[in-house]
Amino acid sequence: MDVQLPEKDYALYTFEAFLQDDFFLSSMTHPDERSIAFWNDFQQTNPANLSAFNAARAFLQSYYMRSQHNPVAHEKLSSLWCSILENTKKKNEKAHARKRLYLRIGAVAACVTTLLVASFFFTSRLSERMDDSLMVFVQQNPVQIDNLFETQLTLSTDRVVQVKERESEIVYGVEEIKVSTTQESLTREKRFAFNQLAVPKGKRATLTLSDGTLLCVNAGSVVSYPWPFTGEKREIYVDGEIFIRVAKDIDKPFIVRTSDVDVHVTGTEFNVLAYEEDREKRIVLANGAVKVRSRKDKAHELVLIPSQMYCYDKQKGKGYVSTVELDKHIAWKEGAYLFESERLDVVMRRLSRYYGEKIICNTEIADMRCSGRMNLDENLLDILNGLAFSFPIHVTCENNIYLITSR
Amino acid sequence: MHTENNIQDATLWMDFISGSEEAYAAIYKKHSTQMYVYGLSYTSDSELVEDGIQDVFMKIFERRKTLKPVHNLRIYLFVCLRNSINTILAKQKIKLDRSIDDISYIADDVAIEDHITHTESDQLLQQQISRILSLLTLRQREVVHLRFIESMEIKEISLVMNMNYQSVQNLLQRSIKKIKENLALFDFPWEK
Repeated sequence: MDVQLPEKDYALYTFEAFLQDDFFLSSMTHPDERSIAFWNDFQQTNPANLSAFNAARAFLQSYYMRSQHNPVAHEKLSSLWCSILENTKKKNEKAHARKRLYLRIGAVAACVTTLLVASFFFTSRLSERMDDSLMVFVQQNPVQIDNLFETQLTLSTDRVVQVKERESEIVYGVEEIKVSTTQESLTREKRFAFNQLAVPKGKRATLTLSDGTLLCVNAGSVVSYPWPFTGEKREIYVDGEIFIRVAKDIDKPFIVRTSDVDVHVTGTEFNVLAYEEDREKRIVLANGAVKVRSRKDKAHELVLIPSQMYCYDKQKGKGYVSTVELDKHIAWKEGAYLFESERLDVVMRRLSRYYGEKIICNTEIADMRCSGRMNLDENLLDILNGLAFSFPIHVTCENNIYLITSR
Repeated sequence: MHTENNIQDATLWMDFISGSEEAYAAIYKKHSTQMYVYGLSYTSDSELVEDGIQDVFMKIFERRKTLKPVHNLRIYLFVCLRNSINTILAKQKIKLDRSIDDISYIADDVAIEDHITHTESDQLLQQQISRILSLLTLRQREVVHLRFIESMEIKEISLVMNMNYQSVQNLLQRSIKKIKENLALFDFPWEK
């Protein structure tokens, strides 16, 4: 704020005077190199009012610190936001309904104006469906991802399509599906059916669902969903990792289900990391707002705001929310892998999935913490050797199996 | 740094009144915590503050098409919050009983501190701060919060508290004087 250091003689200041001085106040609550140096020098001169200075500083800094920590507030404000969105949506609906009523009464041919209907949370009246057909389908159709070599799109029991590309693109239309660059068009059978996209290790896919929802599907993942979306909600099941941009539809809430956690949303972008075999499940919100619910304990519900992550530990049966650097968690969809203080075995597992190669990590170095950034366009061996350069590990490859041991 | 922040806020606000929902959420994310802490600086009723915040955000959303650009978004939101809280209280016809609030104010602080892991000496200091603050009147607490925690200028405080410049100065001076008087009472590290 003040570029110039003040000319005042602070040695004459009283406790009150310090607390009324702009420079003193900003130095204590928003210190920078200059102000820190200035006040250090001041103390060195051993002024007569040193005790007044110390008291003023102690008071101000403690007072400021006290107001900074408010973990209770964080949770309350997140839930409050959920409530605000719900209520503004209700008001919007009322306004919407009123408008419709006027049109009918008016009996005048009015031109249809597109109403700016914002997309928000659906209300918390979650109807528990008796027939959980999606889950039944998922349980009855398990996919052995390790046995797959090609990306596989299952339209029904007798219609399975193999997709050859390493990074494939599948787009659902109203009546047909376009698969990748082959321009192959598949038409929908009249019956409603559950579809499944299985992406083996070493491959990726982008999937656009019939409502416009876009998913980036990471290696080793299986996504199950109905075609078309009927009923009052849109539901998909994920075993693996996806980054999803949900198409706005306030009438049909979107739910991403995984083995432990369900995510409820409309019009939002977030990352779901939920490989069934993994212990930790992570939901990271990029845009919009979502409500996350544990499958085990239905009453346990949390609201996320952008840049927050919900992490569920299967072993502990507990979840927690923290604020994260978005980039780290969604960089994978642009082909980069960022990790910070991550266990070595977790890093290896991700690489193994992404490249489709078997990597075995020795138990003694499994819990070694490492941080780094990898370009997933590179060769796996180059990446592993790069890691060996910075960390005390040794990389060998035999019979197509990579072995990581301690150096 | 102050001005950079203002420019950010001005842009956010413009986007919001132009209809951006992302801006709406961003405004909440950026300012709601400070609004909450500010509200709690002069009332111990956290639910009241939450209701006030909800009221503010719903109102600005409803009226966004008619809202104009603001010079200082935080001050604007603080004023809105203050008005909301006062309106809610007026409706409930509850008068702020200073003595009762002072007592419950201390109790609240102790509860919050349980969640924070500080060193013992830090915790002790903070308890002392709470006690010192509890001896201030609500208006004194409010002005002290705006000045020391929000780093607002007297001019800005006078807008938020709806008082004239001189009154704010006087109030602030009295508050600081009272703080000093109470330091000794609570064994605050102060050697005269």
